[in-house]
Amino acid sequence: MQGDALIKNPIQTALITVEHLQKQFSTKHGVVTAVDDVSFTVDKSETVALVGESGCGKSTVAMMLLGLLKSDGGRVTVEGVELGSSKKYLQKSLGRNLGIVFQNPYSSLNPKMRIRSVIAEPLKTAFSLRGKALDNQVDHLLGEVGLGREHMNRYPHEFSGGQRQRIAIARALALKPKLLILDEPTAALDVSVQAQVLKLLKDLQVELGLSYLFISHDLATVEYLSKRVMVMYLGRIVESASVEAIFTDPKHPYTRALLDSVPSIDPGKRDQLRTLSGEIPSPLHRPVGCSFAPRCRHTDQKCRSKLPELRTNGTDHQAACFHPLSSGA
Amino acid sequence: MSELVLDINGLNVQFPGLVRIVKAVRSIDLQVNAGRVMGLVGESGCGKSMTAMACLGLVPSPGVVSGSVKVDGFEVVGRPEKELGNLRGGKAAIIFQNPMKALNPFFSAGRQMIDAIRCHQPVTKKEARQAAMSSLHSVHLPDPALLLDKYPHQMSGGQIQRVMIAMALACRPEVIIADEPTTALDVTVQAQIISLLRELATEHSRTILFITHDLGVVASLCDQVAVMYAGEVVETGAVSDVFFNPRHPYTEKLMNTVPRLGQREQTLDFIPGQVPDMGFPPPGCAFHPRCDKATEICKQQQPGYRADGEQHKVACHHAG
Amino acid sequence: MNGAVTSPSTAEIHAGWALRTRAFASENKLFMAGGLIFLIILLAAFFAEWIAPYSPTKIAFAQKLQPPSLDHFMGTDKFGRDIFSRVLYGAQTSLAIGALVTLGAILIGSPIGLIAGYFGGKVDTALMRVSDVFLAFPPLLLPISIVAAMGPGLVNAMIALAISWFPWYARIMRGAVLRVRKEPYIDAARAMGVGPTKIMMRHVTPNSLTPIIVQGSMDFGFTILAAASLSFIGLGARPPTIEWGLMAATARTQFLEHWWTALCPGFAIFLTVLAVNLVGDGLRDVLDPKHGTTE
Repeated sequence: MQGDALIKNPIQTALITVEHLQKQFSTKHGVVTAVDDVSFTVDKSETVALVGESGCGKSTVAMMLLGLLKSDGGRVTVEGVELGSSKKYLQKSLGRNLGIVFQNPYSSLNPKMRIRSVIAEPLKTAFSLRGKALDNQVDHLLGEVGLGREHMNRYPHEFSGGQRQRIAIARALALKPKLLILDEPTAALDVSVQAQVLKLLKDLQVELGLSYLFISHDLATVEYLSKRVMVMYLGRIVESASVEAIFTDPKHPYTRALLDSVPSIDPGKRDQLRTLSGEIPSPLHRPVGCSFAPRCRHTDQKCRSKLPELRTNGTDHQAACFHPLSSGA
Repeated sequence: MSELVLDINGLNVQFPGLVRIVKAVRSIDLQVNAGRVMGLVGESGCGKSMTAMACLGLVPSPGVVSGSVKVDGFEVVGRPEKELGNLRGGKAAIIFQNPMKALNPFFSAGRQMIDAIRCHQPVTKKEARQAAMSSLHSVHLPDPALLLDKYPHQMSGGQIQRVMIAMALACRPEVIIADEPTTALDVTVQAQIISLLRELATEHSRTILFITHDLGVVASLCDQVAVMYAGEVVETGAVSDVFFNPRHPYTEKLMNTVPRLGQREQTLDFIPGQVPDMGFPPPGCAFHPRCDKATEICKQQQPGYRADGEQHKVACHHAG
Repeated sequence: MNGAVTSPSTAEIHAGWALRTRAFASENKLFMAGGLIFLIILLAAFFAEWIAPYSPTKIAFAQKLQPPSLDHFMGTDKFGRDIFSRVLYGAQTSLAIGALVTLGAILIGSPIGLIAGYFGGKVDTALMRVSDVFLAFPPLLLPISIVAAMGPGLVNAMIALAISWFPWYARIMRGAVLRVRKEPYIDAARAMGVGPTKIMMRHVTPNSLTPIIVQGSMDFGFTILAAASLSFIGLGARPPTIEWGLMAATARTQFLEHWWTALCPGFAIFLTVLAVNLVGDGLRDVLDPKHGTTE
């Protein structure tokens, strides 16, 4: 099956192992496959990035890991323990190992709750903390993200976007997760604030030994924060490699196109901007064969009839393509 | 010497309230010549969107606009509403950020385009339809005839944005104002729109005022750039000058806070503090509380422009 | 970490409450007007015993059907009772009706809408179809039927009205919940393991209250009107209860020659409903999260 090669020795190093995850939605126009046979692992203290454009399924994967969406196939194992089908078990155990930071800082905090209550909620729910112990822990968590006691009694709308995102991070850390899912955490922030939050995330990773599943469409931010990168297109992983390999030696034409589409801040490099023709096809009408074929410059008959699987060339670098790009392409 | 298509002088946009007056735009000067692409860049709250609105007389009430904005010689500030109808979509066209909300969901794209064209030109429906189709063609949309009958919910974000550009082009405006048109789009679609706008600028000599917070997009598309902070233009000049040689501390720091592709192990800089409340901007230079080069004079006096060469201007007491 | 972290509205807070109240008042003129009138009515009802020049129940046939004068501000009715005093005491009844019926409808309807909106699916369909049955009746027909079955009287009328009114709140609540349920902070709470009950109480409800409050403040007036209508046809308040609708009903036979007997209680109803509607309209602007921001 696709992706078997991606699963390293699951018992030894991996914190979380995802195998053949599947998700379909039935809409009135037909069945939409949002996530198709996605497998990967994340090690301890590792940052793995899930990269792709709209409709690629990356947020759906996150929702399934958290148990907010039920998967239609595949399984997820956290520290060797498979996340069971019992709903209660699922929620409780997930609450201890996975946290999430959402994209929109303006809607990920309850506008009617004071910051103290926002951070206290997970502590009360998962650890049944009360009174002084609760207060101290809230204070500690706020300090971790650079905020203080004076902020505890305020409401979210009194804070800026960057500060709200820090509060969201503090809330996620409250459950002492081993893995933090970051769903486009800086996309809605100003550029100068973005850097603050990214630095915070990096520092926290070192201090707490956290793993991150970093979901983003912004390749430059991904490069700054991640160790491994997986590129998704229309619900499937099309390439997976270390961050150096992905950015210097991409094998899948879509990855190449993504990299070429990012406008460089260097005005001298403006002619290096390459456009990819066409648009992402509707998930209702997935192309037969390789889903990227209609937009790819190197297709042939095989691409349009058969679905390529992730194949490795012996190293950790895998691409789902019948004609992977050679180095230096 | 090409003519001035957009001439902004001493533009002020304020929102008075009993508690405080929010000064969104504080006396800015901006000049754009014909056939140039000027990027207006800044973070949220810097006043760039309000500047765009002021160019078309679209500042929402209770906003008060003072100063001068001339579009191809036509003064916008102080014009009564009925005279502005001619300007909007005629001499100056605007493209907004969110394509999904830009078109009326009840009408087909074609209907809206034809309505817009017939607003400004005395043509029949058939002629307008022809003009619309040729406009759609120039933005490289396949099957323009089919597209005219499509409804907004049947089109993707990228397609709608192209339709908006086509609508903007249809009446041959002197200047196109684009307010963050690619922010809500996927990166590959953004690249397509950037490429399209570049083509329009170079091959068809269109004048564009492009507003964004994305420095990379400015570098790829614009000839000139004006950097805004807290309602003021702090630095302006040719893109290559400003980006390779930023002279304002804010511009310099801003360039260093953006992660760049292809640089592993980079150290990201960040600017401490946050953007000031525009109801109570700091005295003197608005950036001084966050600037590491600030001295006494910065706290008291607003800096005027210093020019390095003819085009590269900086508003700073300690410009490099 | 970074330097001083100042909240964006600190400056506003420093501007002092007097200035902010003035600003609020000038921006919400209708709200203030309605609020003022309502306050006067409330005070009048509260202090009726002290303000009323005469006893509302004292019968004096010698003074019957006198037009408004300095002695009797609103004239007298067919029993010689001072109408102004009766209107003041009637305010107590009417305000109580408005509050109790509206509150009752909210307390019945909101939980239904909450559960229907949050859980969706079959639960939603079942609950909404049941409340749709109540909505299908033409206005006032349902309360009339219920009162007819229970027997006339003010309390029964109030119960009937509350039962007829709750489906609106079920609908409003459901609409608000559908919107709030999609917000990321709900996902965040679920991801933390917070149970559905706590999510509904702590996260969904507080954020869904605005439309309920707005509608409730306007319904306050309409319920008074509905109760008055029921009294008018003899199904609501009965003597000796003092209620504006009942006063108008009793005046039916003399109204043409003695206009004040029906018009004065009618005017009281009108004023109350107007005041409450203004407050309700203004309340929407006050509670709207976008209120007061100028970007």
